[in-house]
Amino acid sequence: MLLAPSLLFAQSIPTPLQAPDTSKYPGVYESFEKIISFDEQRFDAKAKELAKAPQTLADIKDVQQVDLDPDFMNSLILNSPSAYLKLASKDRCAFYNTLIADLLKTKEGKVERVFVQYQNKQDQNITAVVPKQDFLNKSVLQACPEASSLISKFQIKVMDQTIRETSFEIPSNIEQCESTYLTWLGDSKTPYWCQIHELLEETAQGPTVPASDFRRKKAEDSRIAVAKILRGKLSDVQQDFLKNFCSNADNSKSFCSEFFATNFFSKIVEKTKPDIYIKDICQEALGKAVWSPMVLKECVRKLRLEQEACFYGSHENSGLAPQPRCDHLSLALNYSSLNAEYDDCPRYSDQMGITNMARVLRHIDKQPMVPFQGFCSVLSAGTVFEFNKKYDNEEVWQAAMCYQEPVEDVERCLPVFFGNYATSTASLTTVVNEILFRTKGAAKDAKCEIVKKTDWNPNILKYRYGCQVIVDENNCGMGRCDYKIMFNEKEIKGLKIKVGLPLDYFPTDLMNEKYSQTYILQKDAQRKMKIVNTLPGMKNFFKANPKGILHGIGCAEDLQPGFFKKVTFNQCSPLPFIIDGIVSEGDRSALITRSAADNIHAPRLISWSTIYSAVKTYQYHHPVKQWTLYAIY
Amino acid sequence: MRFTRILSLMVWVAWALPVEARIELPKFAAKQSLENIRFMTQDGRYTYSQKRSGALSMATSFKSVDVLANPPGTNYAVTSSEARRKMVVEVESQWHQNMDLNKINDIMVGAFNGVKFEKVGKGRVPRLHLDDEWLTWFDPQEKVIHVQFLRTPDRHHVIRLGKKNNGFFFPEVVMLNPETILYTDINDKGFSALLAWNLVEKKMTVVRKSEVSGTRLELCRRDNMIVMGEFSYDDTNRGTTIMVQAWKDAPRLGGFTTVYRVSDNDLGQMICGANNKLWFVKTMSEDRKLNIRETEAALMEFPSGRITVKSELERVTNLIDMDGRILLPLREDIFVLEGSPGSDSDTLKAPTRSAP
Repeated sequence: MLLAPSLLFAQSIPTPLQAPDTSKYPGVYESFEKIISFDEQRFDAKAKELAKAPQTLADIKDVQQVDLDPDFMNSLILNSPSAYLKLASKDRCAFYNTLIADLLKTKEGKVERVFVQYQNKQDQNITAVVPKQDFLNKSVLQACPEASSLISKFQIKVMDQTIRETSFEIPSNIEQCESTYLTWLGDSKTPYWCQIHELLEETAQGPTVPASDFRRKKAEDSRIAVAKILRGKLSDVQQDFLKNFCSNADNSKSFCSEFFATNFFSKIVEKTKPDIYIKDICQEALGKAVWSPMVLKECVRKLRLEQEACFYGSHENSGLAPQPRCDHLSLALNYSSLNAEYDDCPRYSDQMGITNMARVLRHIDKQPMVPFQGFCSVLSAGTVFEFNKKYDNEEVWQAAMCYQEPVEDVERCLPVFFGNYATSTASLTTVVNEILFRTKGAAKDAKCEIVKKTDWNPNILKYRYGCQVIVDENNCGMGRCDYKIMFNEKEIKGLKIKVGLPLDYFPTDLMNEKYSQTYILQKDAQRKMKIVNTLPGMKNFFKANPKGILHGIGCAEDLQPGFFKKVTFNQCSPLPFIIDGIVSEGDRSALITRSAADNIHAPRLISWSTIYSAVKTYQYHHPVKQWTLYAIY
Repeated sequence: MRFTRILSLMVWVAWALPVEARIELPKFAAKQSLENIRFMTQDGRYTYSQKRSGALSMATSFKSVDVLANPPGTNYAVTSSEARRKMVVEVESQWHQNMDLNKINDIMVGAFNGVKFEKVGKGRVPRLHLDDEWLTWFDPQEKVIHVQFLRTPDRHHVIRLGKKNNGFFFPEVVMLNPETILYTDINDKGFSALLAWNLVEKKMTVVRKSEVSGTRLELCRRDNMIVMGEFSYDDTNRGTTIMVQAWKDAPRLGGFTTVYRVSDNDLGQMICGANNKLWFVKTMSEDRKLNIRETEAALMEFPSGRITVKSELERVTNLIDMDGRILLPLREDIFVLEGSPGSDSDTLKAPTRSAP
């Protein structure tokens, strides 16, 4: 039984309506007032009439043929919140679930009795008023057996499991939000979640019934006790999610705007987003090294008032600066879906292809953080090295530390990156340990330590013995570094370093195609990639893949012309980037974009025409004229 | 002085911008494939091109000669100055494989239209100054500006830049005279500054410091005029200011006169062209909520200060000066703003017949 208001009105309300003699509300409100007033009269009249012949529903012929009385339906439609009517309108069982969950109301308020129409076993058409509980037991639970199991899932003793089985994930872009909305709208458990929301709302103010009203007081105390238990089980985020959905179930735009209209920085205060996105900016903006909830609140206040407060993070972590102004940053982060809850220090990256590919890999594989030492750019180096090693492509890693093998008197080179990444064999100290073991008789399990040049002091006892790799943090990347090795107070010389990490991000020739990172991603890691070269194509991708990302390469001078300037003919500096969201207003759209040089927490708003120009120009210079913007599935 | 006084009258906040009716810019054309060209003289007689083998070749009068040979994948950037005495080539290895924005390349210098080039150092963005007697370049890894007197290799100076918040910053450099270098830098708080370095005294002077953070300074010099532009980085929304110093006898430190100040966030990319012209990329409209801009090439003429919009392409990002030809690269097209558009015809001109 789908709710069809117009049809129901047509059946139950004689036309024309008689206008009341006087009206408090002019214009359109007058019509509503007339409708409600008329409905109330009809409801009361029907209730009075049906009360004369009480029924028990004991002789229903077919439970599937039980209908609600049209006047009762009218009253529900006029008195129930439109959000809950939307939940009820899906199908017969959805309607009954909202009724069971006490979300629908008549002119009497909470539904205690129901007007029904049915055929009895004598084939007579009966209209009757019956207690709601009788109606549920004798008709609803027979017609919709699933309702019983749904009710059982919302008992206090199993609530923990029900909560665990339900996704309250905050959508990260509008497409994902639409998908979340439809999932919740279609879920038969949703009315019961909204019942919980209503209970939490109702009891939020504490006791209101006077102690003298024993019966109601007892019921209220019971509801407050249940609400207290539920508040303990549901997090603030989950409660806010329920509030948003149950208030906006009839309007996906309103539901989504609650997520995206909210300043991203406020979400950090509310703990729905991690503080890593602004911690760096805050410490710089406030000049405070300490970090506490109070500092966070103070900072967010500043970021909301001063757009320029977001321009610069710390020197260590920064990428391309200035970063976007605060309002743009908040907007971009609200629509961004990249897994970016870590730092990767692009200012120390000497291979933007590795920085970008690591961001892609960490997003699609949802890789957990691993321990690392040295600059945080080693996170990118380690991620990409291990990815290539996994698919037997580690030869692509050209940065190496070479030594003269004393026994065979040949030069051996071990792949290396400058820093330590988990147990990777290419970690700097692992490689140095191996070489010292081979050439200097150091213990196999000796542990080298990375020490910043500024911290190095040979007079300090801990630096007198053992092995230290001393690095100049101002002149170190992933594949090149100004460094020296100290082993038991002596500098180890004679090691040769092959610097640089050249690699093909996209194939640059057919012969070596299989060594390119995107080839391995597709053929070995089995990730699907699809060319995107139009804005509608990109919009469709995000609609179908709300958490999807695109990656590409464009000329830096066209992608970020405010930072990189062309001075010579056919100048183009290849710069990889990731697009992980889109924000539209009217016919204009901005793409949420991070070039590999950008701080991972500071995506920018870039127009499609800028992205297109950058990729198109790069294609013009590309050896095999490849279009280099792909969606990853 | 009179010139300066006239300039000072030109600070119009609301600028009436004449747009030439239906601008259809000619596209640059050449006999070679445009994507391979790295430099072409204004008369089109000398062309330096990139070869697939990794070499840089020079073609003239139907002859082609390799001037530099390097492994495949090497890219070349070729520049000159208005003095047209020397050329500079930046040799970038592993163009598509080594995506390091701060990589340093070999800097080679040779005669204008020459075929012999010698390495003078390693770095980026080489610039010729003072009648091509001086060369500067920047080492983004060491964060130093190198200054080289080309006639005497021993006269080499370095200017060390400060610690900064943008690891990808490249300074602008202009030489006032053989003693003084003007250059831009930003500090760790993001404030840009115009600094002067005296090569003799080895002393730095602050010429001008930005009042707000989030701006970048551009510099260019042509004849007796230096132009300094202060533009907003990306979406920092600081507006645009252009200042000029023109002199008769000798340039001075400071002495800039503001000639243009608007709240529009112009892109900049200034080029000081011949005949007192300043080319730059102007923002025509801006959606500040979504950070979307419509930009065009614009020309400011001195001393009138008149600005004319010279393109109707909506998304101009860069301007290039190639031996006096002002070019507008956009995607796979190169539009010509000033100078000859070139020719892709191989037809020889018929000999002129003398009158019977």
